[in-house]
Amino acid sequence: MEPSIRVGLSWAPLSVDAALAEVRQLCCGAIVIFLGTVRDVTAEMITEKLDYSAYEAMASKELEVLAIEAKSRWDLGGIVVFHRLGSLEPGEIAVVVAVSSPHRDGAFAAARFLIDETKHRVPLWKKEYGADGVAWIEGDARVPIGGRG
Amino acid sequence: MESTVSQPSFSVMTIRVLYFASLTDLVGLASEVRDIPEGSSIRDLLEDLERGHPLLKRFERRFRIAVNQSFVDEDAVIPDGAEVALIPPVSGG
Repeated sequence: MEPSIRVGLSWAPLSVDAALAEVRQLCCGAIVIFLGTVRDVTAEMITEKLDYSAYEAMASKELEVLAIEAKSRWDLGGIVVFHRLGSLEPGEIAVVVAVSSPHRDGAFAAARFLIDETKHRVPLWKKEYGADGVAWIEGDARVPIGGRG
Repeated sequence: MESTVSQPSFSVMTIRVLYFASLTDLVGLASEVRDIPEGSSIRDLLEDLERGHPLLKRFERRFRIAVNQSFVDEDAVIPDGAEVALIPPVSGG
């Protein structure tokens, strides 16, 4: 079964309905959708907004690579991974992962793999705007931007 | 036929360097075009960039390098016309 793959970056708000429609196939009874949304508090600090940016050409390529890896590891009908770019407020959807599979084991495992690897490998960064200023998040580190925010 | 004295190659190639996340603030640029000696490695380029942007040394090379959108190590030789990206630890999702 050749799964449909749709991955990429989006400046526009992400649609859960569109992701579902994309992966939905009669063969594949199990559908898993993961949403990553912006939290209002991190490490006791209030987030006003997050600004996502990317090395766009490479991020798109890497998302394709991840989807192809998922396809080779699990029996999947459809794969969607879309990540937002630009400014997001708490509650907004930053990333959508959707997969469909004949069985739930593959669907859950593939969705987990796709979000984990998106967070580890894809050249995307968030810049956090909070009460005490603006900082880049780089891996585990918070790198404040001097004199702004 | 004229004979030419053989000389070391001073060929130069032009590449583009891309900076991301806090590197853009440290260096003050999102990207720059740079001329480097033909046959330069990533290591050579980083030394050159650190000379040109002294604040870059603060980063202690805690970034990965991509050449034409594929990750490489410091030994990699840079092709002419390459797009070289300095990629700090990522934070998507």
